[in-house]
Amino acid sequence: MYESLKALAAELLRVPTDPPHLPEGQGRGTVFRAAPRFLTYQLVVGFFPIAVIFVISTGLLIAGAASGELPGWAVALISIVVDGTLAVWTFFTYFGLRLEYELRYYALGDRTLRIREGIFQVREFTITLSNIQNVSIDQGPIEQALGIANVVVETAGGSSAPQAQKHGGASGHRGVLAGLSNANEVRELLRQAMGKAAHHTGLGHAEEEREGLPEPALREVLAEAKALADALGAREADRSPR
Amino acid sequence: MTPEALGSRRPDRALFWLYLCHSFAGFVFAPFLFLYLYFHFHTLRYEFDAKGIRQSYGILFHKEVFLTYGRIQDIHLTRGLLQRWLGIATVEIQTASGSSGAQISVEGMKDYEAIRDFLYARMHGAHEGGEDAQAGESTALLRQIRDELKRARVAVEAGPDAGGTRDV
Repeated sequence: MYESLKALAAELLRVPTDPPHLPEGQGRGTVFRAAPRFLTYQLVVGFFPIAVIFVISTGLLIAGAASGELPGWAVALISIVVDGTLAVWTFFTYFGLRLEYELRYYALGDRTLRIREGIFQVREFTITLSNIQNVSIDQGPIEQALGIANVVVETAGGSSAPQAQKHGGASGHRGVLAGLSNANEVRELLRQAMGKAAHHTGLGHAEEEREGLPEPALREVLAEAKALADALGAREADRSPR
Repeated sequence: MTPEALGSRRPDRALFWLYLCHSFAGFVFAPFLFLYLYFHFHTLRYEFDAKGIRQSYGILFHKEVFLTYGRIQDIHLTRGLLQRWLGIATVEIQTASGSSGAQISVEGMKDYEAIRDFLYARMHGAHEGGEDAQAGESTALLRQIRDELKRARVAVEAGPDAGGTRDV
């Protein structure tokens, strides 16, 4: 049932189901996905308002029926409408969240990070690892209980408030690898990649690379210049007694 | 892909249909929105050259944005439902500026994947070795200077004996 709906969504909504590829020359890199418990987390969050509405409406209906203010047929009608709506809502929440979870991909190459997410609006976020400014991990209480965490990667630039986005776009200078069970490993991987590029400012400044001169060669030149100076000095010393 | 292959580009006709759909979102203002988007579509132009990309649009309020490939911080590719049906996408390019919105969005291109890969390949940190090649060049120069110094020293050291006659 779920699989055929997924196939229908892929066909009708043109949702890309294959994992994203990395730019040429890097193969597929490591493609990984959120942990299964991320789906649990999403469902908990998604079902919460449904559960609240169900409890409150049921409570009100029972109270109404018990006090005799509502006739039996009205109770039946209201509960059918409300519970029917909630059932449809539950179904779409489950289907949407599961599809969103299954189509969420993270691809990590030698020099690239790519995140794909979303089903209605499919977003792909691409950065080079040397442009990363900081990596952080955040984890809410439910995520803590489930043992998952989000790795947040930020590049240079201003506000990344999701509300401040134009054209319903992807969030500013910020990529979130949501729902990882091995968040620490991923952070370490990213930090290693950042460490390799530690001498860059990560501001996409092409000229900065020319600033540093190769030190060993400089030392060789210094040694040679010293030797030349010594040789000249020795020659002067030879000449003066004459 | 080379910048020449992309050259000067106009968005695909599909973007016009997307704009038409967007303008319906304006309800009573739809005609005005449509007028704006109509001219936006017809004046929208992208130019790719060796150094950077330029976007220009607008009739009454003309706007032109230019940015160099090396300054790109992150690239977003977004495809909404309508865009997927029309086979186009928006490639958003961001530099390290204050705003979180895109500096340039390349809209309405059918070959969005190729454009993204093109931009990515020119982004900072996309290739290793660029900097090593730089360093290699300066190392080679320094070695040449060292060798010249060495030649001078050898000549000086040999001076009193070999060049003694010249000293007179």
